[in-house]
Amino acid sequence: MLVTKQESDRLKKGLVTLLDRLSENKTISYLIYLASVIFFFGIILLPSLLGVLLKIGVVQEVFQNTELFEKSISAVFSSILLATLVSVLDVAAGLPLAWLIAKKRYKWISFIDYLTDLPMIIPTVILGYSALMLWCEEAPFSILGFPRISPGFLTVLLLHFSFSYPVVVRVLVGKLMELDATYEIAARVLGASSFTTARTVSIPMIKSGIIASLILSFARSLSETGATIMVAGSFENGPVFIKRSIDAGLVSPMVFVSLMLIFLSVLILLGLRLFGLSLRIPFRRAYRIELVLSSEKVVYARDVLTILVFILFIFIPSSYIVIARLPLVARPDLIKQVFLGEGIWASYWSSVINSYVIGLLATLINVLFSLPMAIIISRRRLGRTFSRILDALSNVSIIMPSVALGVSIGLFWGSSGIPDFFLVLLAHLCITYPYMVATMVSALEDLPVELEEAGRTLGGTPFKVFRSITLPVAKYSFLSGAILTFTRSVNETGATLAVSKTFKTVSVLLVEWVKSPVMRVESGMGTLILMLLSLIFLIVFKYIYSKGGGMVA
Amino acid sequence: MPNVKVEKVTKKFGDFTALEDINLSINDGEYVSIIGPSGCGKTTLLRIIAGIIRDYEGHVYVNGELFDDKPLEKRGIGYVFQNIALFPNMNVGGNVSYSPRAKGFNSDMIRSMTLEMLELMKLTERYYDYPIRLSGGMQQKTALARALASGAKLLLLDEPLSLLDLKVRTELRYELRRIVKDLGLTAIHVTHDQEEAMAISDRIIVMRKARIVEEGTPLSLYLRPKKIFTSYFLGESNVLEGKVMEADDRFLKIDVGSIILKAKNTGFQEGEKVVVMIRPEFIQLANDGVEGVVKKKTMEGLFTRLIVDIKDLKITVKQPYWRVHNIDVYSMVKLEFPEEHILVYEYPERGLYSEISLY
Repeated sequence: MLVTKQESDRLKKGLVTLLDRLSENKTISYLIYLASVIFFFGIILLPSLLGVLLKIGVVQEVFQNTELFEKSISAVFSSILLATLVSVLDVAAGLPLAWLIAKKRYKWISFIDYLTDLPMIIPTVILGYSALMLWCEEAPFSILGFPRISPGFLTVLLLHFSFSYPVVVRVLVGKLMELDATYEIAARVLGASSFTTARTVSIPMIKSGIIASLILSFARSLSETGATIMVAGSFENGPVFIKRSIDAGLVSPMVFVSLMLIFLSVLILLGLRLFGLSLRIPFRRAYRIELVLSSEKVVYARDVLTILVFILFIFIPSSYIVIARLPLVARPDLIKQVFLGEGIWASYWSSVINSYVIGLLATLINVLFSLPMAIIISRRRLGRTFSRILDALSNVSIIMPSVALGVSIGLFWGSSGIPDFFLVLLAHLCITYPYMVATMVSALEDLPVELEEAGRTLGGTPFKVFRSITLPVAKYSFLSGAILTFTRSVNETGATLAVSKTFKTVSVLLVEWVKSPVMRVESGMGTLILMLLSLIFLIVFKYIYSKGGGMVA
Repeated sequence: MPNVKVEKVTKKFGDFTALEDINLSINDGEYVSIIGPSGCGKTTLLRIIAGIIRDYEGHVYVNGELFDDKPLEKRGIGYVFQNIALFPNMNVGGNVSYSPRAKGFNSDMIRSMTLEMLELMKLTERYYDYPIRLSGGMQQKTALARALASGAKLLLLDEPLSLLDLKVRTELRYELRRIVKDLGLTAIHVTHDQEEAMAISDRIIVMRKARIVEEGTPLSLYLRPKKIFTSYFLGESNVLEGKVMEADDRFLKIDVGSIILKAKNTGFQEGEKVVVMIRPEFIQLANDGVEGVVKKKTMEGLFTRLIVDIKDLKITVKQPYWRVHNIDVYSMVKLEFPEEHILVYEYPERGLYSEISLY
C-alpha cells in the first residue's frame, strides 16, 4: 500500500509530538539515558574487551617465554613510536592544507577539499595494496628519482600517514572555520606579519583541535591491522605481531599486547588531554626570519609544497590501484558486464548492498544510542567522575588493535548462534561508536548551555529543545560524525572477517579480489566503482543535509 | 603627527554599495566621530583606512603618503574593535606587549612601552590576569592600551563602547578623549550613539546610505544642522510638514496644520512647501501660547517627556522634571515655540520619508 505524502507528514508530526510529550516525563528520560549506558556496556565495551579479558590467564605464557616477551615489548614500542610519528607528521602536513581550505585562498581549493576524503572512502586494505604497488612493486615515481622501497617501517609509515590524514584535515578545517577572523586582523593591525600571527594567535587558539587530531590519528595508527600487514615486510608493530601470532596458533601475545597498548595509549592520551592544553608556544618577540616566511614568495612556495605533498603522499597512493589499471578497466564490454551484473559482478553488487545496509544501520543505531551518551558525558549528567570515566572508556574500541577487537567480538558472540549479518553489524557498531560520541561530545562542550536553558524557559520540552536548538547548532559536527561512522563501516575489513567467513561486505570481497593475481582488472574496476559510489553518496548526503537540515527538520 | 585624507573612495560588495564617493580630510590632533545608522558604511570606511579592506576605488593618504598598497601591518595604526578581540590565550601583559613584540623590538623597549601604557590605563595590577577574568570595561581598557602600545599616532575606534553598560560607557568616553588629547593623537571614532559622538568629538561626520550627509562641530550640528536628516538623527526633533503663508525680509509664517509657526526667514517665498523642525527641549511651557492637551507623560531621568496634542498635531516636548512635575495627563498646557530654534528646510523632492529613513 502506498502512503501519501500527507499521511506520512501526519505520521511524522504525530511521532514528533509523541516524543515531545514523552521527553517531559522524568522516568522516560532516565530510561533513555539508562538504555544508552546499557547499550554502551553491553554492546560496545564488554564484547570488545571480554574476549581479551577472558583469556587473561594465558598472559603467563608471554612472561615465561623470554623471546615471546621481548618480541611483544618491541612490537608495543614500535606501535607507539610509529603512531607518535604518524600523528605528528599528519598534523604538520595537514595543518597547511586545512589552512588553505579554510581560508579559501584559491578558488579550486574546494575540489581538493573533496579529494582529501578519498583515503577515508576506500577500504583501508585496498589502500595498503595500492601503496604496496606504488612504493614497492611498480614504483612509477622512480622516474622522478624516488627509489623503489622494500616493504618495512618506511612503507608502513607512508601508509599510516595517508589513511589518517583526512581525519586530521577534517577536524582542523572545522576548527579554523569556527575561529573568529577579528583576532587575526587585530594581530595584523598591531604589526604582526602573517607568519607571526599564525604562530602567536591562530594556532594557539585551535589547540584543542590540534590535540583532537593528534589523538585520532594516533589511535587510528595504533589499531590498523589489515593494510599494515600488507606493507610491513619484516617490520612488526603490535597489530602485525598479534595477527602473525594468531596465524601461528598463539593467543597469548594478542592478550598481552592489546592490554599493553590500551594501557599505554590511555596514559598517553590522558597526558595529552591534561598537559596539552596548558602547553604554550613562547613568544618573546618576532624574529627577522618570520618576515621572510610571511613574504608572498615563501607563502606561495609553501602552498605549492602543501599541495604537492597531498598529491604525492595522499592522493596518488590512495588512488594508484585505480589509476594504474584505468587503461585495463576502460573497456566497453567490461563496463556492460559490470552494469548488467553478469558473472562475478552479481556478487559484487550484492556485497555493495550488504556494505551500505550495514553502514546505514550502524550509523543510525550509533546515532540513536550515542547522542544520549554524548549528553551524559558533555553535560556531566551522571556526576563528574563517572562522566570522565565513560569518556575515557568510550575510546577503547578505536585504540585497540582491530584484529584483537575482531577476535574478541567473535569470541563473545561467536557461540550465540546469531546470524552472520547481525554479527557483522555488532562488530561494526563497536568499531564506529567512538567517532560519533567523540565528535558530538566536543561539539556539545563548545555549545553554551545558556542556549538550551533559554529554549527550556520558553516552554520547549527537552526533546523539542534538543531537536530545534541543540542539533541545528551542532550540525557540522553531527554531519562529520555521521560521515566518519558510515565511511569507517564501509571500509572496515579486519573485524568483519574475524566474525564471519560467509557474510561479505564490499571491502571484504575487494580484498579477496585484490589478493588474487588473476583478478587484477576486476579489483581495479571494483575499487573504482566503490570510490565513485562513495563520492556520490557523500555529495548527496551533504546536499540533503544542507537543504532540509536532515533529520532535524 | 598624522593627518588623514580620503579621496573619492567607493566600495561595493557585489551589488551592494557600501561607500559612494567619500571625500574626507582629518587634521592632525583632531578627534573626529563618524556617526550614522547601522549599515551606512561607517565601519567599512574605518576598515579601508586601516587597510583591513584593500580592494576599493579611490585613495587614502596618511601624512600625505599614499596608503592604498601599504600592508596593514606596516601602517602603524591603532585599531580598537567593537567586540574587543583581546587574545584569549594571553594575559593583560601579553596582550598589551603584543605589538612591540610582533615588531621585533628589543626587550627593554618592549618592557618600557608596555608598562607605560598599563600605567596610563591604570592596569598595572592586572598584568597577569587573563581577559576572561576582566569586566567588560577593563577588557576594553586593555584593548585600548594594546592599541596605544603599538606607538600608533592615529587611533581608529570601531564602536569601542557599544558593548559596555551605560555607566562604564560614559566613564570610558571621557577617559578616551583625555588620553587622545594628552598623547597628542589623531582619533577617528565610529559610533551610532549620538550622545557619545557629541560628548567626545571635535568634529562629527554624519553618514547615511554610503554617503556623507554633513559634517561640523557638535554644537553647530545640534543647533543649526544644514540637512533634515542630521536634525532628525542627531538628537531628537519634531518633524512637521508645512506651507509658507507669509514671507517678509526677516520672518516667515508657516502653516503646519493645526497651528501657525513664526520662524526666521532664511530665503523662502510665500506659498512654498517646507519642512519645519524643532527640538523638543526648545519648546517652552508658557502662560500665553498655543493650547494643547497632554496625552502622555514619561519620566526619563533628568527630563520628562510630554506628548501634547494640538488638535490633529502631535508635538513632543522635553522639560526638566521640576518644571512639569505637577502637570497631569489630560490637562491643558500652553506651548511656546521660540522662533530662533525653529529650523525651516526646503521640502525634499523625493518626499519627507525618503529623506529621513535610516536605510
